[in-house]
Parts: sequence; structure tokens; C-alpha cells
Amino acid sequence: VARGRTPDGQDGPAGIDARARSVESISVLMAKSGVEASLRRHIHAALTEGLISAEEIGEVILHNCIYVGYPATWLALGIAREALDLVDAERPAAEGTKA
Amino acid sequence: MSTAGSMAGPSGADLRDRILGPPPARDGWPAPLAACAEALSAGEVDHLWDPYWTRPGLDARARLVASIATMIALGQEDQLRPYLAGALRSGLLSEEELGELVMHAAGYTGFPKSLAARHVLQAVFDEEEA
Repeated sequence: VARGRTPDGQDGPAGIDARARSVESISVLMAKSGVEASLRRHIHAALTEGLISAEEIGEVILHNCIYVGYPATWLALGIAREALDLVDAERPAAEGTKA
Repeated sequence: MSTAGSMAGPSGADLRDRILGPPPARDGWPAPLAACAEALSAGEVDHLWDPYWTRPGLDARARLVASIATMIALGQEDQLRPYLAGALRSGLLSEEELGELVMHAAGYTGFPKSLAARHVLQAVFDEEEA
């Protein structure tokens, strides 16, 4: 079986690109409780690696609302905000994600 | 038979404001996520508060108990907090009733989730006193 690589450097199946894998990971992690740290780390890694934009991450989270409910969606949005703030803090001041 | 349908009760947004308060300002949020938060707030009114909370047949107090019980069972402590605080603020449930509700859940969810909810409730009580 052909293998690709996940943003965390682990082996993963080929046939689905890194961006799609990132969307899937965010979706699974926001649907589970107790994995907030993993969700934050994944979003941070996906943004740092340039796999997905901040806008797309927000839209993925909104899209999942009807499947997981509002409480989990609000939590995920807050976690995404923390991850984006972290990415911003690590960047040179000139190119932040904040408009 | 029911006359409730013909009486204009509070709107979904009114109920949301009464229980949770109006949505907080998203100052300091990254712009793309602030836009999503705004859309989520609007969607919460259009798809949750308006169609369900305003229905006759179950009063707001019972709907609040159901929502809190579900969030205790799912371990959603983060979103449980505004609902517990809102229950007190709106006067729909008392401190004693909230304590009983959390304890009652223990038999169904197991103690860990009930205890987690108890910690959130204690934080809400502490904030009320402060």
C-alpha cells in the first residue's frame, strides 16, 4: 500500500492530499471530547505547514456544526483562535493573519 | 386546543439573550475566525433558539434542564458554564436546583462527568459571589 505523510510526520494512506487529510483530522478531533490539545496542535501544524488557510479552518468548523452540535463547535472555534494566535506570535510582525 | 401557538412568545434571540446574554464582542480574534463566530451566533439563533426553544409544549425551564443534562453527559464543560450561569441569571433554576441536577446526572453519566460539572458549577457560584 502506498503511504503518504501526515503533517505530524506520521505515515498515512496516499490517494488523499494533505489538505483533505487536514480537513478530516480537524473534523474528527472536534467531534471527540477530551482531545482539545490534539486539535490545537493539529491546527497549529496545518497552518504552519501551509496545508490550509485560517478561513478554511473556520469554515470546516462551521460546516461540522450540524453534525456535532453548537457546544462542540464553539469550543473548536475557540481552540482555532488560540492556534492562530500562536502562529501569529511565532511569525515576523509584518505578516500576521489578523486583518 | 392549545392556544400557545397563537400567542406571540419571546423570540429565539430574546430567549438566548435572557439565558446566555448577547453574544460577546470578538475583539482581538483573527478576522477569518471572527467572521465565523458571527455566522455561528446567527446560525445558533436561526437553527436552535428560534425553531426549538420557542416551541410550545415544553417550557424554557425544562428545555434548560435538558440542555444542561446533555452537556454534562457529553462532557462539554466549556459550554456548560454559560448555561449554568444563565440558569441563575434568568432565574429559571436556583443554585439548589442546579446542584441537584448535577448530582442527579451522576447515576446516569458516572461520577467523573458529574464531578467535572460540579467543578464548573462551583466556579459559577464563586463568580456570582465575587
